[in-house]
Amino acid sequence: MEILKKKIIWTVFLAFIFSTTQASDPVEDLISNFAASYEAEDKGEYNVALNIMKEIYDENGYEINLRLGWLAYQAGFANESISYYNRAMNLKPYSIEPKLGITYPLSSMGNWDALEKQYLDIIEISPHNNTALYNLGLIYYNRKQFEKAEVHFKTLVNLFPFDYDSLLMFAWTNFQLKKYREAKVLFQKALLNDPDSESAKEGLNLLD
Amino acid sequence: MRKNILLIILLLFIHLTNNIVVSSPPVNFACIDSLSYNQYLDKNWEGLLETVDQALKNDIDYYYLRMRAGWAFYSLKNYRKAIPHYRKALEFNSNDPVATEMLIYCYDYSGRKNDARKLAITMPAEQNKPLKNSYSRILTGFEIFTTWNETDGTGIVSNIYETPFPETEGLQKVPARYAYTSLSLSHRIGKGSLLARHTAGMLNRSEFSLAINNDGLAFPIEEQPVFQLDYQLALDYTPIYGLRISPAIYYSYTRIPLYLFENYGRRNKAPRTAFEYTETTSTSWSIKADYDFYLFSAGMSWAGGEINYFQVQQMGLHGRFFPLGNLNLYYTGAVFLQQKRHESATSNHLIHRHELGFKITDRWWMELESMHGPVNAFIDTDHGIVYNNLEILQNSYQATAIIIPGKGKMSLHLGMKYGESVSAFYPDGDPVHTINNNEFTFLNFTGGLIWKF
Repeated sequence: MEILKKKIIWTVFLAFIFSTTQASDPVEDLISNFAASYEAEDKGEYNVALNIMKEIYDENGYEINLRLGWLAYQAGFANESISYYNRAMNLKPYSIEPKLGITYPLSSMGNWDALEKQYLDIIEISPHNNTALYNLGLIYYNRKQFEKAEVHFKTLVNLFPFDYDSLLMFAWTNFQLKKYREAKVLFQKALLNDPDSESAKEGLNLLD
Repeated sequence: MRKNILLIILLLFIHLTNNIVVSSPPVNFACIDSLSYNQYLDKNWEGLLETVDQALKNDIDYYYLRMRAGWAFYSLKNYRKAIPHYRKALEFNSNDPVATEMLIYCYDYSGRKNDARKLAITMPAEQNKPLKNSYSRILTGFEIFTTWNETDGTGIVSNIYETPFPETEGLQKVPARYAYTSLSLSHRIGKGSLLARHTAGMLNRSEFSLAINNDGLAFPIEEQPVFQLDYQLALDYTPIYGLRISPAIYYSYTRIPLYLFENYGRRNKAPRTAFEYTETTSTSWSIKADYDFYLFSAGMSWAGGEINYFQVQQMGLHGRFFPLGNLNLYYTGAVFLQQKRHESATSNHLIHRHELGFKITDRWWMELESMHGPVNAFIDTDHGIVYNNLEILQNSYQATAIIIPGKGKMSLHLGMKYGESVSAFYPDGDPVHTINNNEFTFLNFTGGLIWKF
């Protein structure tokens, strides 16, 4: 009788331990962790959000790696962010999401060569991606590679002829390339969009 | 029962602590970036460099971090330590005009002018055309140097007269005075980083000369003039940053007038008439390779040629150390192993040189140098000089003041050299083993102008 009692106690106890450590439903856990991470992110608790996602980490999970890439960046772990985004890219090579995501940590570090490569990869998949076109144009402009910048700003202005940022950078690029007639027209168009634009006014003053 | 309870408690403890994450404050990108940026804005260079060290130890490495570190070292005038940071910044951002420009300045201010030139030449013109042009000039430098010396060798000449002349054929010289002037012009070859340096020199020397012919007849000449022209072509090539390869060839032409025994010297007040001239030429070569390791550089040299009686082979080890990471203080050391051979006889010698350079004011540097021999039939691969004198220089000590007027492109060099030397008789049959060695001292004065374009 004594032995039976002990066996019952042990069985109940072990069942309790086991039940609290086993996941009830993997998908449910995934969803609830994602939800909890959004909640923590909204409160600005990026480290908490990061750790919530790490609890359910699966290196073959595209969504998890993508989410961790973003949260790691927000939490200030740029290297870690890059690693997660790279894994997401490896899992879905034609996805633009991780390529756009990785540009955040790369640009905060100033690693422009790696950033250039990402934007070029994006344009290869999606030639009219305006974020990639604009930022790539900016990279080339800052490096004083004005011919290369011109190509991307021109494409942008063709897609969005009345977009202020595209018009302005295309104007400055033409100015640097000494295409003053084109630059003047573009500065004027930028002023149509934003009549108070100091940059466009400065450009026109330089052309006078 | 008690054991079971204890076991249960233990298992419960393990289960409950399973999910507790113990973490310490992270050294993360955001903290490093924020801290280093604030230190950069506050010009807290020492603090910034500590932050950079901490970041790198934690595998946090990126463009802005390296740029801040480079600027910190640059601001501390430690240009050599700034170099690896700017180079790393360029790995993150290969076409960055700011990192390129800063790296060029760091190379130049560290004395690595060849590396500065190599980088500036490859820089796209649109990045900084004036800077690129300033390093792309064809002519890169001009130098003029003159040295004069007056040695009182009367004591030695008296000794020579008082000692029975050797009975073997040979030659002994005692210097009296000389003046040597050289001009150098440096220029680029092609559009790359290959430089050439042409040096032409002229020597006028007066010396006591004792020649004994194969009949044992002695011909002492109290004031034997010697005229020498020399030419040197040295190349300077930087195939990769930090590596410098410098081959050179040296050529000299010496002309010595021969007088009749009774027609020599000022003592006789007899007009000099040379009845014949002895002309000799000598060719030697050298190659030196140096590699820069930021705070120090190390190199090797090889040289050889036919100088006076000897076939000379020599090997050198060179080192230069910049403790402050700039040209405000530097030490240069060199050790040469030289073999002189005449027919089957050889002699091996160790020669070493030491130089200490330091800044006194923004426009005044000093260089103190000593060399320890025997320096004879020696190719000085550091200064591009061939010692083809017969005297054997044992020790020399030199002090040179370098004055930089104006904008820094020109420098004036004024130096004085004290030396301890030996005049010896060289038997023609066995010049390796000299006889009648007489010690003397001398004082040289040097003046020169270097103009870098």
